[in-house]
Amino acid sequence: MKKISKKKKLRKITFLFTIVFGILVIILLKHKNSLLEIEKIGKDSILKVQDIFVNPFQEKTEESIDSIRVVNEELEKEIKELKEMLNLSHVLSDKIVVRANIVGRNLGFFYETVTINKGTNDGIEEGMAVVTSEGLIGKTIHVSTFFSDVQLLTGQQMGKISVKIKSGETYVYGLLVGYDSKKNVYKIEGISETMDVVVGEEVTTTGYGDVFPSGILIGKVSNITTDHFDLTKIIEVTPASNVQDFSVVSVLKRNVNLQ
Amino acid sequence: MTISIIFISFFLDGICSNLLQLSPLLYPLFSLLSLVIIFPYYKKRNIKKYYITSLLLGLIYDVVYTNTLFLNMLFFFLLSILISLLYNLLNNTMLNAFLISFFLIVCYRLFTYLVLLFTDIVTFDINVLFTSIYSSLIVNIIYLLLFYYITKIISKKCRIYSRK
Repeated sequence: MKKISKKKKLRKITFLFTIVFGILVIILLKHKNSLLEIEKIGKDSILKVQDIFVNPFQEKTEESIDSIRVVNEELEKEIKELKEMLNLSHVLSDKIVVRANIVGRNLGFFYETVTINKGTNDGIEEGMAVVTSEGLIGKTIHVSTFFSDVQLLTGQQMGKISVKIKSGETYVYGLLVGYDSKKNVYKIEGISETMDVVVGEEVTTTGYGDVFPSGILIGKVSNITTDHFDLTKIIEVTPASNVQDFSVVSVLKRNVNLQ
Repeated sequence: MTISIIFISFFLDGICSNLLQLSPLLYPLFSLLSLVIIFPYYKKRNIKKYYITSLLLGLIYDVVYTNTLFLNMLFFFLLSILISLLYNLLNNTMLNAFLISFFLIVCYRLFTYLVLLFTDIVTFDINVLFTSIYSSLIVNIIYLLLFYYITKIISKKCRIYSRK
């Protein structure tokens, strides 16, 4: 009799624990945007140990020839104009490139994130653009002392990104709204049906907002359709970078000296 | 024995997530499966220790790998209760461990997806859920069967207690 009541009591405690914990988890998931200090310490110390085992298999970041090939006509034009205006012989870019290796990949399956081996110690902050040699792949979201998590463009949590597509001598502006994993294409919306967009044109970032600088290659237009009302175009873009296979990335760090 | 199983599985989780990156069919969940492997090594009177271990493992998993503080802690705890219930019904054999793991992976992915859906972190797409389940099955089941076999041999040789 005593044993049964003890079992019942234990079940009640477990049930209550689960409910309270469940509520706590939901509250935390909804409101937590950055890492807590204790999380940063835990993440750093355990990933450092793991890095010792992974390191022999990795490409050496410093030795790799991971030069960023970014087509940026607009920026070149701007630099030229500024040089003429200010009579400067040298103009520095406002971004510094920090190269990093991938040390972990999407263990929280639904988040589409990767972990890189550079953190606040290397000047990384939340919301910095991350690129491969082919083009944009995401932005930093959680940063600890030695490691950072990168939200990939293919993830649902990425949000909308302002992009532009070259159309003759001008640009057409739209919003990158998501990724279709079945077709391996990004989707762009918000472009009027009357605008001219040609298949094969390059899609780059506009530079609006604080995260992505202007002119970073995202991909090439692969298909153009219209919405149900024939009012706006829906454009499919083949990613410039392989969304699965990359081991070295570059973080575009803001240059403090120029700000 | 149990600590080393958890330790190896936890680090392999992180290392393999990076090394197995080329195939979308290979998503490791080794830490979760280590709960299936270690359960037979806990005597009935020590079952509380097993639950505490699952809570701690879930917490560290959250901090290091997923950044969803307490989510996996709760899931690992609930799934460890499920494992103990299933092991009480089934014998400790390789086939049963395989069945429990299969059920566990499905439950884990389903629970996680439902919570993320409920908190508006993901939008509803049944294909994503199915992809997450089938992409986790192959590599994890192979890992479980291998590790189960190895630990069985070691426990026999070293005469370490395990449930029948």
